[in-house]
Amino acid sequence: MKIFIRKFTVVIVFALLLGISEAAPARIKLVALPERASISISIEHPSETLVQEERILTLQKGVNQVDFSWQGVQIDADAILLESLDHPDEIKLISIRYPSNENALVWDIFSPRAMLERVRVTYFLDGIGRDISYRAVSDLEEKNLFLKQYLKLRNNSGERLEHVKVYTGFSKPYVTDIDNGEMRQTLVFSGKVPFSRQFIWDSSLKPHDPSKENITVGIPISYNIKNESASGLGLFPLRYGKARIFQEEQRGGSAFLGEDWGQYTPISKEMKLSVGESRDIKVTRKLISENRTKERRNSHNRVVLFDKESQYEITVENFKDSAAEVSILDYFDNTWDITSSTHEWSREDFRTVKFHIPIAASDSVTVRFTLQQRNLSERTVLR
Amino acid sequence: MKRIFLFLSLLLISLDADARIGLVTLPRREAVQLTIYNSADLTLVRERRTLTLAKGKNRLEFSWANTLIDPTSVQFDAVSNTDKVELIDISFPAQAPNALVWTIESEVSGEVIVEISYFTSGLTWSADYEATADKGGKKLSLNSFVKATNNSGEDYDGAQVRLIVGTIHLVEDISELANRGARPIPPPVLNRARAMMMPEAVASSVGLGGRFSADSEEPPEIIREGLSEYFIYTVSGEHSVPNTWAVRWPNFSQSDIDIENFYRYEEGRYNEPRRFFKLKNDEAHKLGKEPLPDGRIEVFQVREDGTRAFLGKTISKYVPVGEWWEIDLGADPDVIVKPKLMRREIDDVEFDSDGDPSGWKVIETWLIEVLNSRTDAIAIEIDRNFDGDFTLSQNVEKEKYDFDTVRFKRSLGGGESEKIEYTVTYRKGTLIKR
Repeated sequence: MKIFIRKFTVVIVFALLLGISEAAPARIKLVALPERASISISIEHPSETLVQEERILTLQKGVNQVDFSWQGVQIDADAILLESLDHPDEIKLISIRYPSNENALVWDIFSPRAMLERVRVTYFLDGIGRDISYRAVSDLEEKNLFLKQYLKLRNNSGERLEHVKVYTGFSKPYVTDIDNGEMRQTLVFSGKVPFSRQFIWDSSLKPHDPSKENITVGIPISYNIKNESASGLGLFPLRYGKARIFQEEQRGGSAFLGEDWGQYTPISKEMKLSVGESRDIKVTRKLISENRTKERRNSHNRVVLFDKESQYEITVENFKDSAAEVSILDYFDNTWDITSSTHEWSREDFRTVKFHIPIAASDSVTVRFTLQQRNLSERTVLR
Repeated sequence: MKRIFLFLSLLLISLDADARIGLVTLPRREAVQLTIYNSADLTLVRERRTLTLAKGKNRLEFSWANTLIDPTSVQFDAVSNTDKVELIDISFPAQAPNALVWTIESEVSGEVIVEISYFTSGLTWSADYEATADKGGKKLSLNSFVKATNNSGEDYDGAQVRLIVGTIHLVEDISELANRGARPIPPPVLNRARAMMMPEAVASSVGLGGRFSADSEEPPEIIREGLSEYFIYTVSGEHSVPNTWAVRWPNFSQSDIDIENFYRYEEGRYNEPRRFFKLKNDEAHKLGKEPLPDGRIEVFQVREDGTRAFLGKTISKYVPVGEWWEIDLGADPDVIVKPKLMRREIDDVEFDSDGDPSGWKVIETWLIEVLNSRTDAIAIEIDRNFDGDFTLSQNVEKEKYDFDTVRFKRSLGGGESEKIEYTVTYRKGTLIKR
C-alpha cells in the first residue's frame, strides 16, 4: 500500500501486501489509488503547520504495509502519525520502517480481518506562511471602528491544498483552496468595534516648551480596542499584524489615517494602535519652583544628602472642535512622592507618573503638582 | 549489504604459515541479537552460527570490511560441546586489516553451535513520544515509540532487538576503535570497559535463539525489565534492520493520565510564562512501571471535531519512576506575568565619622500582575531572585526556594487575574548583616 505525495498533486496509492518477509527491504509497487477523504491544516502554532488528512484504507486480514512517500515537499519524517479512526481497538501498528535515502516510510499494520478503515495521517509541512492584517475604518463620530481581520496564507510547500479546512486558532475554521506558490487572503473577522482615542504626551520624548520650537509639536494618537465581548471581540486573542486605519468622510469614501503593528493581544487586554500625531493639542511643562531641605553635610562641609520639593505645572491646550483625552507621562528618579496635585495621578512604575486629562473642545487645563524627593545626593550615589 | 563474513577451514598446514587457507564452509548467521545503547554509540552484537568442525585444529576467519566493528571486542564461544571445543589463539593477519583468524581445537567432529559477539558503532536507538490532551486539557493519552537506526555498514536480518536505557562508562569510543583497526590491541583497557559496562544479564546469552518466535501477524511486544542501573527494552520477534534504514516500534500506550496545566516564570530563565503539562511517573498517573527514556515529544490537543491542534514539541529529559515530568510546551502569550518595580526608596541612612553615608536601606515595592486570559484554569510558579542581604515582606503568600530565590505559587481560573505585591528591603554598606 503506498501513499505518495508529490509536487503539485497529491496521489495516494495503496499496495496491499500480505505476509511479506520483513527481511525484504525492496520497495513496493503501486496497486491502487485511494481517495483523500478530507484535509485540514492547523496554523495555531506560531511556526509549525500541522496537516491532517483522512484516507480510506482497504485492509486485508493480517499485516498490511502502507507506504507513505513524498517528493518536492518538506515533511518531518519522524513526526508522521497514522491514526485508525473506525476500529482503533482492532487495528494495530506493528512498526514503522524508514527506507534508506528516501523521503518515505512504511507502516506495518495488523488487521484482524479484511475491512475498510478510515485513517488520519498527521504530519508537519514546511512552507506555509501566514500573516495577519487588520483594516479598520472609523465612523464619523470616531466612536466605532469597522474592523476586518484578514489571514494571508502563502503556500510555498510544494503541495496544492484543495478544499482544505484551515484551523487558525483565532477564528472559526474555514475551507479554501490554495495552490502551490499561491498567496490567498481570507477575511476571518468582520465587525463593528468600539474604540477610544487617546493622545499621549511623554515627557521623555517631547519638548517641554513647544513655543520655543521651530515647528509645531505633534502629540501621538493611539486608537485602543479592547479584546472583550462588549466590543464584539473576546473570543480569541488578537494576533500580531499590520493594522491600517481609515476614517469615514462626510462626502463618502474614507481617508487613510495611518498604520501600526498590532501586538498580540490576549482576551481582556487592549490593542493600542498608533496612527499619527495631532498638532491641535499642545502640552507645556514647566518647573515652577525648587527648594532643598534637610541638607546634611560631612566633616568637610560638603552636602552629602538632602531632600527636595519641586512644583510643576503642565498645561494642556485643545485647539480642536471636539473633546479629547490626553495622557501625560512624566518621570522622576530616586525616592519621590507627589504630595499635592490638582488632578488625579497614578504611579505606573517606580519612575513614571501618569495623569489622565479629559479636555473639552477649545479648552485648556493646567495640572499643578508638588513633588517631594528624599535622600538625594550630588556626590555619593546610594544604590 | 552483508559485509561480515565467516570462513571455516580445516587446518591442514602449519599455523605459522602466513598463506591464507582456502574456504571450506560458509556457515550462515542463524540468529542475531542487537543490544543497542542510547547513551553511547555502542551496540553489542551477538550472533549464533552452526559450524561443522573437524576433530583437531580448525581455523576460522572472521572479516568485517566496511563496517564499524571494534576488532578488539570480537569474542568466540562454543554454545554446544563447550568442554570439547576450545579457542587456542587469535591471529590478526597482516595482509587482512579487517579480519581475524581463530584457531580452534575440537575434540568432536561434526556440528557445533557457536556464539560470536562484538561491539559495533553506527547502530543507535532513541525514544520518542506522542501525547494528546483531551478537550479540557485535564487528561493525556501517551504513546511511546522506540526507533533503531542502522548506519553500521552491516545489514541485520531476523534480529532480536534489545535497547538499553542508562548511562554507561566507556574509556574509548567504539567508532575510534573500529577505525584504528586491530593493532595495537589494547586488551586491558577494553576488557575493563567491557566488564564495567556490561551487567551480567546483559552480557549473558539468555534469550538468544530461544526467543526468536516472531509471529508476523501480531504486533511485537516490548518487554521491559530493570537491571541494575539500566533498563532493557526487548522488542519481541525478529526484525530486519538493513544498513542505512531505521525501524520504529510502538513501545507503550497509556490513556487517561491526569495532567496539570502548569506554568513557570522566572526572569532571565523564562522571560515569558512557559507552559508545561505536569504529571508524575507513578501509578497514580497510570505510569510508574519503568523510567521514561529521554526523547522527542510532540504534544497535541483534541478539538471538538476530533482533529488535533498542535501545542508544542520538545526534548524530554529521562524521567525516573516516581519523578515529576514537566513537558515543556513553550511560551504561551495568553498567560501574562508582568513584574513592575513600583517604588524604590533610600532610607535609614547611617554615616561614618566623617559624616559620609556608610550604610543605608534600599526599599523596593514590586507588583507582579498575573493574567490568565485562557478559558481553562492554570497553576503557575513565579520565581524571583534577590541579591545580597535582603528581607521580604511577610504579608504575601510565598515559599523560600533557596538562599536567594522566593517562589510564588498561584492558581488562576480561566480569565482570572491576580496582583502579587511585595516589599523587599536590601541592607547596604555597614548595615549588611549576612
